[in-house]
Amino acid sequence: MPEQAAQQYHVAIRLKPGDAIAHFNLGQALEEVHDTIQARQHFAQAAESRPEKRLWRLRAELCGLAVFESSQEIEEYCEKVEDAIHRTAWETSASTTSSRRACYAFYKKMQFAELVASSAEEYARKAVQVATDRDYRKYVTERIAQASDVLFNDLKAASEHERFFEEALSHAGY
Amino acid sequence: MKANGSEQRLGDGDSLTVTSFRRALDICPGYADAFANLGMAQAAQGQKEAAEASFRRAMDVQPGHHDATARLAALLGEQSRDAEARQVLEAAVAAAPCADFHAELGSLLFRACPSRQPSSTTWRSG
Repeated sequence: MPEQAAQQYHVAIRLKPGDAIAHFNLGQALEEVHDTIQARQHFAQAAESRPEKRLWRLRAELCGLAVFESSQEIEEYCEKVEDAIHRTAWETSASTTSSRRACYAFYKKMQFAELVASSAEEYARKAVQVATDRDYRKYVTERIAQASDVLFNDLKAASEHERFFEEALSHAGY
Repeated sequence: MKANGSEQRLGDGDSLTVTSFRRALDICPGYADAFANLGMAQAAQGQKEAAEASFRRAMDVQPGHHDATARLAALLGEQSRDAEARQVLEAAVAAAPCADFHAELGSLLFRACPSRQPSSTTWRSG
């Protein structure tokens, strides 16, 4: 069935190339048959045509990540992340949260800019990547572990990191 | 008399709209648009069986009538009669390729997959 659905969406797109919904639905059908590379491209094309659909962009970024069992789970996760972005962006713009400023200072001291975001969108991308990409999570964890000695084993710094990641996971619904 | 002259009133449940289209069909019984619009008015009033009959009449008069095909497939889909909706759409695309109908066929097929829901398309012809 998903193969047949994909065929129909392909024809629809051939006849009407700018049909964002058809691109998105084709992405879903391709994801179902585990053609994640093509699926991702179609999600991205859909998102490009409809930039106001921010969840579609996230969907493109999350496509094919093994942690999710179904597209429904991805959809739900995207909504949680989107919600977290709105709240986090507001908090950041207010510049009142010492924990975020402390985290930034730690990263700066460790010369590790990988997890520092300059915009809400970038924050979302990084949050999603940390939460969903096991290899990337392992990489950043190792980098932090390697560089954290510059913090002189400051327990306060360590607990601040812990709190940051707990908060990030909580925002993401874990 | 314009068969779609009362189009902006469709959906308001106004029985006069149905009456107007019936009068149009009395004057011009082979007017496919009037059947299609009558079907839409009936559907708006919840008269699903009558609407289905009107859409089918429109398609008899003018095979491949775009709005009648789209609305009939949607009506059947709403009633979980996906196999019939699929037949309607397949017949339409066999007669003349149409992006909207191919996309809706895709959604019908995808909907048959467990736990999968395509993004809401809504009928674009309406």
